[in-house]
Parts: sequence; C-alpha cells; structure tokens
Amino acid sequence: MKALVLENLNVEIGGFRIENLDLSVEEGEIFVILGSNGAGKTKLLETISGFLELSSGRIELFGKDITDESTRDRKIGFIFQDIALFPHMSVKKNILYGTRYRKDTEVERKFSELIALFGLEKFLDRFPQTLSGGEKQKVALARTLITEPKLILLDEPTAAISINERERIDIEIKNILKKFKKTALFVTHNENEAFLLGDRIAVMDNGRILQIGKADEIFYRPASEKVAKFLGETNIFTGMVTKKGNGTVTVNVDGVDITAIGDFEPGKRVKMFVRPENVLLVNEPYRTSARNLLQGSVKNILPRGLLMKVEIDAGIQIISFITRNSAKEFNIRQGTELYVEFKATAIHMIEKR
Amino acid sequence: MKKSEGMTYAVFFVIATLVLFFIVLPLARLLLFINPETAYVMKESSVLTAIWNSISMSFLTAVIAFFIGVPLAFLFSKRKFGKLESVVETVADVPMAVPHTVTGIALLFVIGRREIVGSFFYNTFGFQLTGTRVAIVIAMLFVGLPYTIDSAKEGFKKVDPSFEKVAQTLGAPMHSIFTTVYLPLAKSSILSGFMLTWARAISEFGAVVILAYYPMTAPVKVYDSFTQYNLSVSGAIAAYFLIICLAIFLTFRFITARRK
Repeated sequence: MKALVLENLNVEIGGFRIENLDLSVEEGEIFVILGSNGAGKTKLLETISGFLELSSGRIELFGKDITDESTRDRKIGFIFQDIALFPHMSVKKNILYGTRYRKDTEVERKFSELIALFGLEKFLDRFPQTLSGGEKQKVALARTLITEPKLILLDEPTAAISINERERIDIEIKNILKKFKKTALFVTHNENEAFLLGDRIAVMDNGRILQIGKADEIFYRPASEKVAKFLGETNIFTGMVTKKGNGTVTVNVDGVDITAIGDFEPGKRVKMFVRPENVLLVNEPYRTSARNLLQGSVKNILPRGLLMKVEIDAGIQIISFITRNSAKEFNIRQGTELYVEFKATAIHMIEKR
Repeated sequence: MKKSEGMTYAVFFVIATLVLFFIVLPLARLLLFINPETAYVMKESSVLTAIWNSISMSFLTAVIAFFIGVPLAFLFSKRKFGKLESVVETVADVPMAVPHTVTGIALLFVIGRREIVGSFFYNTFGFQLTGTRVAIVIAMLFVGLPYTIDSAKEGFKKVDPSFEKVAQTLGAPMHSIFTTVYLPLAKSSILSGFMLTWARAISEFGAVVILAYYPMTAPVKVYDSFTQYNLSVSGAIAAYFLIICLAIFLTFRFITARRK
C-alpha cells in the first residue's frame, strides 16, 4: 500500500518554489531525499507536515486526503535537525509530551517498552542539555514513536553528530524504524547516509526531483549530468556514436574511440558516465574486447580522503581514484606515462539532449 | 594583557568607578537619616499607610500588567500585526516617552468625573475614579506596562521556533503550546518584566499626584512632607521607603536568580 502520495505539488516561499513535484512512498519504506543545501528538502518536509501551504496539489496519507488538515491532525512525526527536545522538561516529560493530546489507554505499557528498547531507564530524570547527541536522538525518536505517527519525517537529524558516531546512529535509526514498521522520509545532503538508510532515494535540486531509484541505480545509472555530479566527482564524456555492434557501440569522444554497452544508432550524440573508482591504471597494456585501454600521462595527483585522485591526459581528460598504497607502489607522479583501463560495462550512457 | 589593552581597561575602570559613586553616593547619604532620632516617622500611621499603598498598588499593577501585557507581547513576538507591526509596537512603547505629569493630565481627561470613562463609572457604579486607589493603579499601569510587554516580547522571540513545530506534530493545540512551551521558556524574561513594571509603578509620582493626591502613596507623602514640614522629616520617610524597596527587590532578584 502507498503510505504517502504527493501529487503535482506546488509551493512558493519567498522567491523559492517547489514545482510540480510527484512522489510516492510505500508503507514501511525508508525513503531518502538527497540534495544539497537550498534544494528545498526541508521545505518539502514542512509542506508534508502542514507548516507550509500549497499553492496547488494534493497530499494523501494512507489513502486519505490530508491536504487541508492541520499539522496536529495529520499524525505525522517530525524529527528536526536540531532535535528540539524541550529544554525545560526532563527526558520522561519530553517523551510523554504528545500523549496528553492523543487518547490512548496503553501509554504506560508503550512508555516502558520504548524506554527499555532505547536503554533510557537511567536518563528519565535528566534534562536534555546533559545528554549526548546520540542520546538526544533516541529521546526524540521515543517522543515521536509513542504518539504512533503514521509517517515519520526526519530532517538531517544527524547533521550535528560527529562522522564516527553518525554511521552507528544511522543504523540504529534504521533498525528502529524497521522494527516499528514505520514509513519514513529521511532528508540528507550526505550520499553515504542516503545509501546506508534509503530503500529508495530521490535526488532533489532547486525544488525539483531529478531522479528516484534504488542506491545502485542512482549511483551507477544517473539520469542526468546533474545527478552524476551530485554523487561526487565523476568522468563525464560527450561524444557521437560511430558504430553499432553486437550490443555494444563505439563512441568518438574528441577523436578517441570508446566502447560501451548500449543501444544507440550511429550519429546519436551521447553522454557517458564512468565512476573514477572503476578506472584502473596499469603499466603494461593487455587488451580484451570488453575493455577500453588508453595511453596517457599523469597531469596531477592529489589526495582525496583516504584515496588519491589521479588526473590523466589520454587524449581525453580522465580521473581515477586509487589507494594511497598503489600510488606509492607504482610510483605515480606528475608526468608518469601509463595506461588507463575501464570496462565497457562500467560505462553508463544517456542520450545527449 | 598587552599595554594598550591595559590602558583601555584602566580608563574604563575609572569611568565605571565614577558611575558607581554617582549611583551609590546620594542613596548612601540618604540612609544616614535612618537613626534613633528619626524612628518616630515609622510610628506615624499616615507614613505606614502611604508605604503600604505604594507597595500593594504597584504589586497589583505588575500583576495586571502580566495578564494584559503578556498576550500582547506574544502577538508582537509572532509579528501578528503584519504591516501595522512597527506602528503598533511603537504605540505600546509610547508611555515611556511621555513626561509623567503629561501622562497624568492626559489620563485626567479620560477618567475625570465629567470625561468619557469617568462619567460612565460615576453613572454606573456611583463613584468617582479620581482620588481613589483605582486611579492610582491606572496611572501606574499606564507608565509600567511597556516594561512587561518589551521584556516578555524579547523572551518569546528567543524561543526556538522548532519547539512549537515539534509540539504541533505531537498533537498539541495552540493554547497548550503557549502554556507548556512558550511561557516556561520565556519565564525569566517575563519575571524581569514583572520586576521592572513593579519598580516603575512604585516610583511613579507625576501621574499619580495629578489623579490622586489622596490616598497618598509613599512618593507623594515624601513630597507632601517636604513642602509641609522640613527636609529632615521628608528625608527620613524617603530613607525608610528606600530601604523597604531595596529589600523587596533584592529578595526577588535573589529568588529568581536561584531558580534559574
């Protein structure tokens, strides 16, 4: 069953607009909205929860039109970026806050269950200021879960948490959402977090959804250059199909022939995406039919996190990510002559419009 | 500390010392009037009544200001007056800029026996407003209200808007959000507004004396004895009044500071 359906949503806030947005989330699904700052992610959540008004469109929650319902009647939980625990209330009072406003005879049982599950027994009388980032998360989740929301919106809830802790907390959040079979919309600008949490991911930019899909689809088969670039630095080649073979095509990119898997007629202009970690560097050439092998020289080598980014001029400009060890082992430096290799299957092609 | 920094601080400290002297010296000099020879003024029932009038009516004023000023302050903090916001906020602050005697005269033209509100009271309830405790509270409220409104407004503005949003998603209606989130989180600002209004009300002379010479409040009594008797009598009354005011305000300050 569809938990949430957004139909042709239009929202205007100041100069910013969400335009003709369609989206649907399945029951029990964790749906991640990935986008950079200013993409409109938070505004979208605020629209779904009723803080912002639509100029047109429809919001449906489990088959019921909630477009004109007030926030408090929507039964949609919201975990804010700043967590927003009430600073003047103890952990216990924070968690119980919403129960005064919903008729529920089993509050006490649910409360003790949640407390046990989150391991919050010894925190009940403490105040939010004395809790760690992870503990605050748990209290906020418990406070929302006890009111049994039909949908939970999470707005970058781990943004203020250190990277080391973030992955652990993300996994905890995921396990809890799955345990309670909750449908959730999780907003983040961090692709690692998106891949870790999302059953499906929507990439959002400037008030529009660019692509919706599973992590692999978005990562390896981006629908546009924007999506590809959003997921980190990548190789993007533009060229023209010159030959069509048995399931493969040959594309001429600035005079260099590249073989890729695809079904495009000769004469078509195409864009090709190759992830830098799928580009190998070798000393000795050995050719197989499925590989592209180009000779080139290293223009630049730079540290990129735990890896090294190597920029190569092989007639076309190519980047490759290799481990620091291999960079040292192969003694790669500016001017090093080498071969660049990537499989035809590692190339994702779209028609250039 | 670098030498240039040290110079700046030294100059500022000298100025600060002068400022403190400026405040403490007259008050300290006044306190010299408290001695066994002047103790008789505190046995005078008209003096005790005047001091009691001042304290009780100014406290009542601060309580009324709380009930009528806080809702207004909340609307201001939410900018609910739209395009008229700055106009309305200015109007609410105007009493601070009006000279006290001018306030008294202006109020007299409204609550005087023949004026619009005054005549209504006289005809309906059969009593004249001027020269009563009601008139005194009206004068005190007029001059004291802006302090409650301004303090509470700043307090409400400091409340993170996510708290209200979270409360809404948890199902809380607006009146509950106001009492469970906004009021407690703006508590210290509201309390300090209460204290400021109280202090402002207890000190009011100009507007009060025009609306009600009797029943006498302490400031009026001090002035009255200054004109009727001599400086040492009014000095003694002023000194005892000062001590009582300081005691009340310091106690309140201590209590509220400890609760934070």
